[in-house]
Amino acid sequence: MAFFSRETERAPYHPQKKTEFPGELTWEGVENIFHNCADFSKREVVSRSGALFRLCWLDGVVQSERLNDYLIRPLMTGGVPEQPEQARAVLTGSIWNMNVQVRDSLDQVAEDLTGGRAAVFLKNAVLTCTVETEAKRPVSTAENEVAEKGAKDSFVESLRTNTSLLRRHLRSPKVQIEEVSVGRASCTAVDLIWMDGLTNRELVKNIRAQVEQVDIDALLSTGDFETYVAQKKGSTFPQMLFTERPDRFCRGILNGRVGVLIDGIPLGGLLPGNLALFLETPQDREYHWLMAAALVLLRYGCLLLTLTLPGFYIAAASFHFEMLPTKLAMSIIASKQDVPFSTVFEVLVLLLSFEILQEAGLRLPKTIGQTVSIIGGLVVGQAAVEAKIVSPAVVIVVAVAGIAGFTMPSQDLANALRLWRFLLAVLAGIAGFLGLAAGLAALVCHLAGIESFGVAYLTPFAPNPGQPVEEHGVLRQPIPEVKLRELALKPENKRRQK
Amino acid sequence: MRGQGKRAAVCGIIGALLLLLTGCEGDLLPKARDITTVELMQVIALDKGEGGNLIVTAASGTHSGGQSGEPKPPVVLKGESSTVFGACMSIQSEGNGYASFGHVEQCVLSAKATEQSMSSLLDFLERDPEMRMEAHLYVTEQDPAAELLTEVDEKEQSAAERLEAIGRELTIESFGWPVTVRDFMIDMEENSCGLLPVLKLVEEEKKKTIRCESMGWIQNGDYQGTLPPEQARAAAILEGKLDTGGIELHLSDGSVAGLKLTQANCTLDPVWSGGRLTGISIHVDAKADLAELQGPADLYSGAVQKELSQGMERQLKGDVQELLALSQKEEADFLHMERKLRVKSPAKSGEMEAHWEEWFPELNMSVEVHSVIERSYDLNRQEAAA
Repeated sequence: MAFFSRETERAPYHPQKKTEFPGELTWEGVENIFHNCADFSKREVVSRSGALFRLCWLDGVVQSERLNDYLIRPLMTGGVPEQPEQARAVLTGSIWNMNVQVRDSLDQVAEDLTGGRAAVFLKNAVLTCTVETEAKRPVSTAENEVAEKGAKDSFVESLRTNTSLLRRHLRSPKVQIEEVSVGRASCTAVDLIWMDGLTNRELVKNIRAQVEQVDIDALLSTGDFETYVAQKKGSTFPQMLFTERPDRFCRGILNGRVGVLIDGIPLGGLLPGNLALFLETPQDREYHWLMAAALVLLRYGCLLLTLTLPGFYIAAASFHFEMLPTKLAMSIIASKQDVPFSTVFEVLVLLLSFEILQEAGLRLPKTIGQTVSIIGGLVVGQAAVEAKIVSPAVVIVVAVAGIAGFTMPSQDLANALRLWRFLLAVLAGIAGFLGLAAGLAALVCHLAGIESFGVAYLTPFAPNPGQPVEEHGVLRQPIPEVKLRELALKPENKRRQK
Repeated sequence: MRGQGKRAAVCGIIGALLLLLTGCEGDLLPKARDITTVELMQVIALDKGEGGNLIVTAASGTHSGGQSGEPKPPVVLKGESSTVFGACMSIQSEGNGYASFGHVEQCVLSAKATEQSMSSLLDFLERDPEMRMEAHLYVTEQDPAAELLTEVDEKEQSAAERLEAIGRELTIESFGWPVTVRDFMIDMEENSCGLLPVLKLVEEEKKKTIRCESMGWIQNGDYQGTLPPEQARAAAILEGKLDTGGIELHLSDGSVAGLKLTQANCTLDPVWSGGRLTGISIHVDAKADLAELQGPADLYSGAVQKELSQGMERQLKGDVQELLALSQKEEADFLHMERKLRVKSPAKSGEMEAHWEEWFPELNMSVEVHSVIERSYDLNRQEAAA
């Protein structure tokens, strides 16, 4: 018996089989694979010339009009006799379909059927044709990354729609789209996108290798993917940027990053990720450069504020009150009069309450969520202050820290900061500014230790071997002055404009 | 191996947590003291006690009533010991909470106690990590100095608030300037003398309040006396600390003019003769606004304007000369002449440093004042002319 837990036998690894369905490709074989599937449909068609065709498909994933008009009708009305070259004749004239593939294994046919294709069994060959349904969410405006003066379109769940959006923004034929299937059960198509002659080939190779190693049941959410490609898995900080705006996605690719589009997920991912990337917003390019620079500075300030304000308040009010201006110290004392709890307890409980409110607001429908926020934030908060359970100063500190966290452009980054905020508050409660400083030092060490596909997470702040940073640091320069791409990404074409 | 490392880390964390249950208190981490359990002292007053002891009286500011309730009067605590530190420590046993001296922004020294307490106080202020070197230092002839803290009418303004206001407004009144502990320590280190604002407890409309009307002069840690207000203003001009001030001039025709000093720049030039500093040429450029004119004087008359200008020059020059004479007589360079001249003539800095004490009392001080009265507010006369 082990010290911590019972020794349990480790579940054996089942490597993915190369061939899921062995055996010869026959009509019966396909029927056997889908014999328990209610949506498996089949029919036989006899052409005018008397030849017999067998068709099968999965209901729902194919569009019936397409099946009828582009497959069944031409086969029935066509005059292709049964002959050795029947497959070739069908391919060249009898089927009105732009994408017809000749298949020779059960695996291929099974995968095609689940992917929205119909299989046509000829005498000597099996063909699969695209008749998939187009029922999907139309392109709409981005919900979380609102564009003021930029393109309003946003990614949807359909991979091909997303690649079409990409192609509309970047018409260059140098845009490369490579597809990898991920997920044993989901067989999700993952497209890796980069610019030929611009993106570092080594970077593309490394990312491709990492994606190909992903061996999971299903790729259904961004987390399923991000965790596998993140180089430092223990970090709460995001290492892959997800955006719902194609223009931001394209800008990332033009900077030398590799884009990732996943079928079924209405977001585009960019690799590698660094801290500065998560503090940029697409709006930064829409404003005057001075305004944009001021806003980026503000965001960095908010990052520090949301991280350290509760810890700073605890340290100042519990350990080092002599460093507060006298009037502020007197105000804090006045606001805490008759409050029965210590500052540390007050701050931690209020931080927790803030998180509970935030979580409750997210889980409920939008209208009820707003009500919860109002009741929780205003009514309960006001009542708690009036009942002298918490002091107004702590409410202000926690609220300011929370609101400063909302300025983060990336929700993943904001979530990481929420966790670290708690940690820093606890450390400040243990050892005041000593604890806070130790926590911040640990955070810097942690961030400095993260590397995403050869790019340091703190790029361009550290390390920077004297390379020009231009707009890729804190301050944005006028766009005509920004001559270079992000050099840390080692792009093959370093210059972005004359 | 990875599993073993994980288990070792878990063991370490559990072990560290178990340390908290042992009851042992380590001194590794700073001790928390919640701000609500602390009494923030803002003023301390030092008096001479019996048997060579020092008495420290500390006062907080007025407590606001919090979320509801009335303001509470300031807390005044007293401690006695042979050192300032000891007296401060003995205060700890008196209040309801820990008396924190980290917010002391004003220190008041009793004139009688300066000789004994000055070095002790400065040493304590220098070494104590809580005390602020930016605290303002005052001296008072009030005996005991603690009365400034206890007798002041708290309903109007607590002693802490009143002293804070004095520190803020001293330069406006032109009779002095606030002196921080840091500044005064530098003065004592360089010259063994310096100027401090002098506080008084005065009664106005049956209410006692604190006022500051001049600067006091400390030499070798001992209080020597208070400068007349005009000389204090001259000192402010020579030190470049004057923000504004007022001068009343009586003209030959019986009129009285009120002049508002708006600017006074002072330049010092050394006068050398045969490798020896023989004198200092002091030039003051003063500007003033005519704030008020009572009497028959015609403001548009060149003679009256000249009389105003000359009167102001005469008054300022006289004040400066008297102050310099006092400084030379007492061999006390509390106006930092040496420092200023050494900056002015860096090549001869070494010579001045070596011979300053010998040369200073015999220096010939040549004072020149140039004044400009810039604006008049005699609106009635302008309307009549129109």
